[in-house]
Amino acid sequence: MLDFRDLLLALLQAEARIVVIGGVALQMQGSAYMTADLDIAYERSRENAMRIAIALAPFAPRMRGFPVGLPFSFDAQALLSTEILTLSTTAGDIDLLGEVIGLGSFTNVLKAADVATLDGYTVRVLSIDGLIRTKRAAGRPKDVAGLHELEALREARTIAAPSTED
Amino acid sequence: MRQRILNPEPGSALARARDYGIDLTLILKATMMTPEERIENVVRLQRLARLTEEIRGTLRRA
Repeated sequence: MLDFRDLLLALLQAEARIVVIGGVALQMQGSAYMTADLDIAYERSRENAMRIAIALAPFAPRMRGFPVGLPFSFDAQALLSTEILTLSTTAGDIDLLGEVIGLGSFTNVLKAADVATLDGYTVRVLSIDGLIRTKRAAGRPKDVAGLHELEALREARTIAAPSTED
Repeated sequence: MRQRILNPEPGSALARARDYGIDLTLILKATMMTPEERIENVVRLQRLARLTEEIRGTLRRA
């Protein structure tokens, strides 16, 4: 069962340095895109990796696509040993990315993030411009529709910005 | 604002999106939401996805 809110709140409560990217970021920016997992970019420091590991531990994370019984220790070292970790948890699937295509390191992702609030916690979400950069860089056929929608959202916000009429 | 989004100028990003099949009423709705409202909308979408997943799991030929 996916409960995106529980996963995200656990990370925010742990003060993990993260940015929501991918399909959930698209949705947060107003896209009608549907996704089944939560993509998170994270700062690749040992302290942050430990915060993420502790925050997600209650959700029993395991490697997605591998047998359920396969031994797997989700800890800071597991996070720091790879750029992308794709996990299944009791609250749904979550992908943890140390780098993001089209943007690079977490520092760049953070610069391209907007800020919102969830249950009183500050949550950083990849901006429309950032999402456009990642989709252009990915260049997959499925990204074409997403690009059209993102560029329309960006233009609509430009139209809406100077006026609140009707 | 509503008219400029729903009836975009030719050649604009909105016009290209409409021609591609994007529903501009959804673009308008998203544009009028606050960031917090958009997050709550994501939570609703995730609940909808969970519901459809549950139902899909029970689908069978009648």
